[in-house]
Amino acid sequence: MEPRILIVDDEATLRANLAAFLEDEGMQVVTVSSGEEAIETVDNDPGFQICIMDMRLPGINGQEAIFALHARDPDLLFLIHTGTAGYSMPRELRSIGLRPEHVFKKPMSDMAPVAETIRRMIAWGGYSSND
Amino acid sequence: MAEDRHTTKNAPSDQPATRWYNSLEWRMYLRFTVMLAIMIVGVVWVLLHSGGAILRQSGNRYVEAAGNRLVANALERVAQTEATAYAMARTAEALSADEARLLRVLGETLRSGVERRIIAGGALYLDGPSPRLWTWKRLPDGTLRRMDPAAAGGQGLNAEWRLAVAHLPPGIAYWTVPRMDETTGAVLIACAAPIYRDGECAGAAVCYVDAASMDAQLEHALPVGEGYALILDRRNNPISMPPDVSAALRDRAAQPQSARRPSAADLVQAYPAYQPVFAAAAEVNQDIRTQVKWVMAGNEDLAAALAAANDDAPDQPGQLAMGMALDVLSEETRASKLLGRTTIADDPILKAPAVAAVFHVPRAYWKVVLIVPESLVAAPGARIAARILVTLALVLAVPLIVVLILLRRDLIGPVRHMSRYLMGLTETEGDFLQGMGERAPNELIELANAFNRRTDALRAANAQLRKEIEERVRAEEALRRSEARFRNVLENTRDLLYELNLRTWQYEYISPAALQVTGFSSEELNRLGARQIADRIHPQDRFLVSTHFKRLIAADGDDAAEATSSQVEYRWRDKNGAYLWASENRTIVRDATGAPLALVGSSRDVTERKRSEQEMTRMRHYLQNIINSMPSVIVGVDREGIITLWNLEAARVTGRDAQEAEGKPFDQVFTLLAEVADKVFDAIRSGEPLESERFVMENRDGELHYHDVIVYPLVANEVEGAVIRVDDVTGRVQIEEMMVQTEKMMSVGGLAAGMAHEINNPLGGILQACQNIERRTSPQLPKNRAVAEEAGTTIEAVREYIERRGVLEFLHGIRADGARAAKIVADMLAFSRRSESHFAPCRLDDMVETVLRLAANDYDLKKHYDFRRISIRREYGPNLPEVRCDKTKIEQVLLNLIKNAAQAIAEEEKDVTPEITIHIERDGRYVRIEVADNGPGMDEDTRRRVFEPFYTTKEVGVGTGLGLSVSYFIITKQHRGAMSVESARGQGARFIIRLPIDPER
Repeated sequence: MEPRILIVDDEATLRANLAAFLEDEGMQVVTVSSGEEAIETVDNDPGFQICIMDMRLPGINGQEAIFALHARDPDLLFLIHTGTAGYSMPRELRSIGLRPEHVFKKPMSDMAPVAETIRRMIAWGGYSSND
Repeated sequence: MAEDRHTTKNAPSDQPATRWYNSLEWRMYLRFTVMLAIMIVGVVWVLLHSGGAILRQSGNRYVEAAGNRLVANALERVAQTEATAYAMARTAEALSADEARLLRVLGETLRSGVERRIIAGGALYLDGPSPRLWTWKRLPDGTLRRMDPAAAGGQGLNAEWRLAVAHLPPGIAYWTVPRMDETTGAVLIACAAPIYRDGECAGAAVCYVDAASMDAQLEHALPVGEGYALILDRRNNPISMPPDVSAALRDRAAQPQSARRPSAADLVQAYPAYQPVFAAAAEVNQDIRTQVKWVMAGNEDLAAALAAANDDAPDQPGQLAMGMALDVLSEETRASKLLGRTTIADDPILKAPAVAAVFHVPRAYWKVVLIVPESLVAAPGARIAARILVTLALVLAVPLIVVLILLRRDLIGPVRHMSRYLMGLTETEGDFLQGMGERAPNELIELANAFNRRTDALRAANAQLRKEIEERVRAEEALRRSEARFRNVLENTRDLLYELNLRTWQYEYISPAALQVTGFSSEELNRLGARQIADRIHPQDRFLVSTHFKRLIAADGDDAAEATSSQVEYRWRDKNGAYLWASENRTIVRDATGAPLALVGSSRDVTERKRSEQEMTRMRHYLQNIINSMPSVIVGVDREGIITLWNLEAARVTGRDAQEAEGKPFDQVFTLLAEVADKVFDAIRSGEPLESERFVMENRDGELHYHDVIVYPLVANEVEGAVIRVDDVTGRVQIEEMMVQTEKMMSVGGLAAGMAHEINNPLGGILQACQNIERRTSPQLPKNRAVAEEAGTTIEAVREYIERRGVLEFLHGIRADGARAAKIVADMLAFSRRSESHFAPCRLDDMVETVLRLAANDYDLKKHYDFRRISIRREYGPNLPEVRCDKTKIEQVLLNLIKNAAQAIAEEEKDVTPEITIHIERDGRYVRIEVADNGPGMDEDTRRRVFEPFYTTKEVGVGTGLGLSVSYFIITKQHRGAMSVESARGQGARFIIRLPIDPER
């Protein structure tokens, strides 16, 4: 079964490129442009395994969206894709299992690590092998 | 001020009493009489004393002349006899071998002497194992006969000479006392001379003198009636006397042995009057003995022998004999001389009082006694004296009396008349000529006329005087008023005036102002005296005052005006014990010879003035200190730009001290200011302060320094000019530059943080798009092949097309540039982050090693140059501490520096081995890291901008222009350290980092 990926990014180019790459990797990708939209999508169509979340978003920000989505579907795993300089992971996100290696900083000149991480997480069924 | 205590009370001038003896006449009589008396007494005295002495001397001279004549006669005989004896001795020495011939020759010699009546015989004595004695005797018929040798020790007259001669040196003869020859009955005196053979006394040659032969000589020695003479031997027994004397003596003595010569004792017994004569002779002997005693020591055996050899053998003749034997007596004793003198009350021969004189005959030690009647010596003198006295008295007295009488008639009479007239004269007119008498001398008449004229003149003068006295009274009144004025001034002036007598050291005057100035009244000061007043001078000023006084005294007076009068200021303890400052003008008053008489001083209390002066001085010093303590250069100039103030900092900066600078134009002394000279003058002219900031000047070491120059014009109190203040602000400028740098970086950081997201998003789009394009044109992706076939082509064709058209390279270019842009953003972001969470203690040398390994494998570096070609010098100091730092950041800085160094070296091909030196050492609370290369270095402009963000010397695309500024930021901001660079074009560069060992502290 193809992994289902939700990409949340307000930058159309970025989400399109990432989506294209992941689709080429054989994944089923849905893209949305805001946190609210992501919540709506997940409410209407649950069953996403991985969500790639931008942190700076119009409306609610990435972190709030993550908590909202996590509340609705605790099995949903997140990757963070951010352009914020010096981003460091808050404790709240660590509490749901996120680690710095799950943060990808913009700009990414190579998207292969993202696909790899997704596959590993799906194989593990969590953020790390211990989960 | 000391009053004259010697006010003499003049006794009222009594009218001298007119006593009769006070009159001119009586005085004249009295004085004439006294004069006459003195004259007579004087003449008598002179005659009695010096005159008598003169007369006596003339008598003495007569006696002496006669005596010397007699002595000379006697001496001649002595000398002739001695000469004969010496001749015999020489002959005996010469003819020692031929005895017969010797005797013959001696016989001839003696005969000749006897015939000439010099001697009366002789003898030859030869000493030896068998001593022999030959004697020649004059027989009564006048012939000479030689007696056969007597046995040794036989009496040749007597042997007195035998012993003496043994001690005599050659050339000295010995005279014996007289002996009577048993054979001929003649009284003989022996004169013996020693004979020497081979340096030893071998005998004696003897000549005899007949005492009687001298009697005849004495008989005619003096004219008849003028005295007679005796010759005494050394024992004072008479040798010879005039025949009439000996006859008289013989009669008188009536001696049984008429042949024997009378002895001294006989003579005195016969004529006791001779006693003093022999006493005098004995005294002479005593004198000689006294002198002989000095040589007695060591010759006592001889003395004893001689004493024994004399038959009557008393001690004294023995000593005399020794004196002769040794001939030790001085020339004086041996000279012919009047040795004694005495008087004989009634001479038995002259039958009158006589004078006896004793003379000495040298060599034989005889004495000639001359007896002369006293009348012959003294009487003529007395007669002459009396005659002179009477004559003198007459010659002096008669003119005196005549003068007296004449004086009385011609002088005293008219004078007495005139004085009587004068005494009776009233103020009415009179004539002194009246009653003068006809015989008045011309001089007195002239005198009287003069008196008359004088009286008239006096009357006129009297009137004139009266007028003058009135004027003088008026003048004195004026003077008194003037003096009162002066006194008033003196008493009321605030200055203390005084006069000190330099002879008595007493104050003549002290003005009442003393009370106000010193607290002492004038009287109290006077009582204190010069000494105590001087003691109250402040100890520190005493030397000054005394020096000043000595200079004043020493000054010549005509030297210079200031020398005799000058000012001195000193402290003086007043009555309350407080010191007051006195300013004193001192003048030395001198007498005509220039000797100092008095010290006149006027002393003023200048305590207030001094205090304000001191306050002013203190204030001046205070201000001076403030000005000198300023770290700024402060230069005061007048309106012409001449330096009037020059503080220490100015001296330090220019290297010229104030003495050198003051009085010179400021732009000449402070050449750095020459450029702002116009501004200085503008400021002075306009009165507006003027600032000139960041004025770049090269200092003495050739370093560029920034200065702020501020010119304040001086306007107050007519002081024109300006104060120039120069501050070296180089340090501040450098700090400001640094702050600007940091601020720039911070703003870059802030900007980057804001921008990063916005730039990263499109960059992400670009980069991801590129990756997607590459992937979707890749034959490896199965979906690509499917889509290509759907599109009616093959993926291989698409790929080939893309490759042929270089699209892939373009895509690589896009990716590379995107990555570069992403790096720039990431570097910029470094300026904003300040997390210290990664701080941990690290060893810097370990870090350097890590970085060196990294650099050796660095891809960028490898591309352009071979890092291994560069020699790395490591200079790691001992005891390097661990430094608390962000390891990654510091490694980033070090790598940056090392890469920069390598790039710099690579820029230039040089002959020198490329070299990077890394030096680490502890520096107090810091660790100092230096990275130096021997590359081309940089110019000043580059050096100053090297930490500026985006400043780069590398070609476009090689560097971001942020490496060094990021390093600077990491060191200074994140680690609170310091970073600097030293470099010059062509001299390599040296980056210096100072990291605190613990940045938290």
